[in-house]
Amino acid sequence: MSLRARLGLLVVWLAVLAGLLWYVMTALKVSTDLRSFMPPARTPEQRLLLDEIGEGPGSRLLLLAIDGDEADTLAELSKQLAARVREDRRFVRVLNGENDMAALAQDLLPYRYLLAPTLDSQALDTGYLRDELQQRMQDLGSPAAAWLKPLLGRDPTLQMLALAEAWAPPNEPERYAEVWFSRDTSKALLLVETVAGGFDPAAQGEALQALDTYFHDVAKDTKAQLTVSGPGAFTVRINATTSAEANRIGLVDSIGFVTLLLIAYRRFGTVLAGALPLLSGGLAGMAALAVVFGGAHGITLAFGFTLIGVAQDYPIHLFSHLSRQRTPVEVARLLWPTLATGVASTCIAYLAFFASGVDGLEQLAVFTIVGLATAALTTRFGLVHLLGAEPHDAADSAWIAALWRRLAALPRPRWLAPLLSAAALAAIVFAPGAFWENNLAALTPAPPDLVARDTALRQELGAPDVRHLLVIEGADADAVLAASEKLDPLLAKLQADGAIAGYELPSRYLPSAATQRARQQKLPTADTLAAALSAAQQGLPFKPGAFADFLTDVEAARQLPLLDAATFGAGPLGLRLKAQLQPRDGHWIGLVSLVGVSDPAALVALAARPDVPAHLLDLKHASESLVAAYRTRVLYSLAAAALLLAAVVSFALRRRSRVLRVLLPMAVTTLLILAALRLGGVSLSLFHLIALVLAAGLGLDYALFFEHVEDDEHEQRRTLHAILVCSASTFLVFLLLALSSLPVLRAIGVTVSLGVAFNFVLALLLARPRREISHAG
Amino acid sequence: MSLLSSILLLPTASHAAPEASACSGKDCPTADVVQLVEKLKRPLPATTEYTEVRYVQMLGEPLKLRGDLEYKGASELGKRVVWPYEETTTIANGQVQIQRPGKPAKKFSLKRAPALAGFLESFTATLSGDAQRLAKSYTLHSETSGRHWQLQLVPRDPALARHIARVLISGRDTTPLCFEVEETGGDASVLLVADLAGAPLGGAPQREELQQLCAHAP
Repeated sequence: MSLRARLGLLVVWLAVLAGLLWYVMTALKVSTDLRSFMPPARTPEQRLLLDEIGEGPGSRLLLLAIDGDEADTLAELSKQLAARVREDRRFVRVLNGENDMAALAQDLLPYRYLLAPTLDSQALDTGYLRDELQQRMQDLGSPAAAWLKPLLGRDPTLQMLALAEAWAPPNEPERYAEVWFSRDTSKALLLVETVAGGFDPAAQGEALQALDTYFHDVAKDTKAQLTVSGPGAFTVRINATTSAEANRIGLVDSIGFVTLLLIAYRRFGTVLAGALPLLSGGLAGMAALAVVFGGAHGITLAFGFTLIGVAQDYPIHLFSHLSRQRTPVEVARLLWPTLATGVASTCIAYLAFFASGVDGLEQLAVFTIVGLATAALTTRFGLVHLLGAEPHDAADSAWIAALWRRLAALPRPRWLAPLLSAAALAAIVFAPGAFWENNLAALTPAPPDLVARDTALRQELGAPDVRHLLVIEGADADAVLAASEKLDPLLAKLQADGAIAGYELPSRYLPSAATQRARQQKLPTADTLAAALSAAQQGLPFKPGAFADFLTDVEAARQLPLLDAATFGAGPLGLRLKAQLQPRDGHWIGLVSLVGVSDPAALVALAARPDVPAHLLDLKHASESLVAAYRTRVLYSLAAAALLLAAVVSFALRRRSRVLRVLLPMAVTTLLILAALRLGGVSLSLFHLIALVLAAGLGLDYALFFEHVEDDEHEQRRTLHAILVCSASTFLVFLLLALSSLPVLRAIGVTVSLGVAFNFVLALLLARPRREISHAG
Repeated sequence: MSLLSSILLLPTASHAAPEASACSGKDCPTADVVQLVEKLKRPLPATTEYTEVRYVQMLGEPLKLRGDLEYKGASELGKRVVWPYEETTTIANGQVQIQRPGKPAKKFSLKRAPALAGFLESFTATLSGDAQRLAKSYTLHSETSGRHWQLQLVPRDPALARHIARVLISGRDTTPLCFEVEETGGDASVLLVADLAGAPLGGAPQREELQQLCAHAP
């Protein structure tokens, strides 16, 4: 092809890629919520975790500390920050200790007699009123008079204060200047609940950003600093560190990779053009996701790009086989059967994932199949036309020739595969340590200093446990509230026994209809109350008529329709109730937060009692069981994929001996990687499994090329060169990942590096046909 | 730092470095105010009995309370009611705690009790004797008639001025006898200390009667 035609092709190709990129950026929605990557729930516990509560209300709580300035400044900042956050609909609530007198909307004020527990043990009679009025008189003589005075006329028994106390969090921190502080008054403390789940990094990132902005607005003239902790903050932080490290490694990788290719092919243009197939594959894969699913999970993309990394080998095979005797197109035509066998069998194998019934895995299948096929086809039909006529011929290299001779002379013992397999199996079975790692969080651990700070803040704030949760289910909201009231004394007993430090029930905000009705019926008639009040005022200096508003409110409360979840939900505290009381598919659920769980067994025992209308949700257990269920699906998919792969390879190669030579290296390699990981004390996770799949894909290609050797020695040298470059570049890339400090990157890196090394050696020893030995000798 | 806490920390600061509290222009107290306040200075801790009469609009007649005050230092004041009921108020570091027998303590910030804050400031100021520092937060005015004198404080801080109209301190020679705090809403309280703490009062003493008593006590 002329230079002009080549340039034209390049421009068209780049234009198509730009078009794809634009489409992907506009059409592909990347979700980061871990739940959408998970399989459908099987157990009620998993269903609650996935469909109903996200990761639990505890995980949506952010713990805030403001420090670095004088206590008065910090208190003022706490109030201003809370005011800003209260107006933001991304947050369910913000608590900083301020008594919220406006907690009940003005028109709902008469409801205080139905909401506060006072009337359960007390009637509004002369004795009670007199006692209260005497206390109010003392209040008027005390410094508290300043803020009580405006309330007394309407609320002489201070029901609003009783409500505010009942609605305060179970274990409150110390106060300074009305707001929560650490015991040493060095930090103002706040609790913020986000609408988004704790493990949704994108939404949590947004929430943290908003907090940061608000804080900088209110604190720009101070020395104060804001610290945010909690699951959401961890998620964001871990995501940032992981992607920062992955990017850093990626940069070094790219430099190393390009250098290696430059050394191997000596043509800058060739190396650059070599990036096109992988780029095309990645973009085509993402575009396919946008078309088929409309969106993709972030983990799908991360796994997917790992898996299609094998496509970088396709141009390398082409480049290494270039020579002056043949045009690139002829080279590609000769290589195609081998390359196509590898690609086709891998793609067909991934069909198994498509049948897994899990969204995340189906997406992975579509992405990988489209990506690999595109990369192979563009290599075969696009890249070849870009290459110049004066290639670097790998067969000319003296050291390749020398290496080839030495390798050709290597023995190929028949006993090697069975022996290695047996040893590996023994190691896999007998190595100590847990086989599987079910705790996904263990792969992305939070830095210890953050965990320590979180523990300290959590204790000071009395914030709910993120692991345990009681769940009440009922036909309607009122059934849940009634059950919640039934739980109250039982949990109070647990708290008294020290099993838990506190708890938060939905009925604390909104009592059941029955309870409200009982309280309403205890309210005296207007005449009775007026008489009782007048008797109670005897001898006390209150002016006549001082409590007219009180009489009006009580009479109003007697006539009110009972307060229901919908009306309460529309008020200032509505979101708080909604976080604990939610309708779901025709029924309602109530969530009971637990604080400071020190004896989980006591909770298990409580929830197991037949008269207890709630069950205990252990979020850690639920998410681990979910991961285990997920892994089972992946394993089934992998088994099916392996069978498909073997079938396709058998179909392509026909002869049993050839099939065995191609499949044996990758099978033994998989066993060896597992053995090495087990001996290294590593528990396997999903990330290891995905990396194993990549390693197998690489191994298949190496074996196919080693197995399919031409009689021509030069051609054999070129094949050796190709596989050397492929394995060296892949090894380099994943070795750096293997050295990462982050377990998740290390898991992928170690597995693939081991895979490349084992696959290369085993393909060399097991895949080459025996007849070659006589040629070599 | 807030006005209140700076006032509360004032005594120690002024003892250590009186020259640090220089003033300028109209903020400066007049010479007679300086002279008056300086002679009121007392060593710490200081204790006195008191009788307080509170005029609250909700009530048809004033509240009368008796007890004692203990000014312990820097920012600590104890106010104990012994009659007609028992109650102990402790102010420390800008925090107020009210304790009644058999009831859980109530805690809140001094900022929520402006009347108490106004009284505390005037009380603190007289006992520490630093007129210049006091003048930064209040417009001061003094009147003397024979052995009797009266010092008027009107808050400059808008936040405090919203709640407190003025504080009147009256006394004889070097001893304050009355602290009268007038709130913006119309409520007021008169605190009689020292020689007047035990003065016999009628069932419902009028404010004017008390003012007369403060201005002319023998």
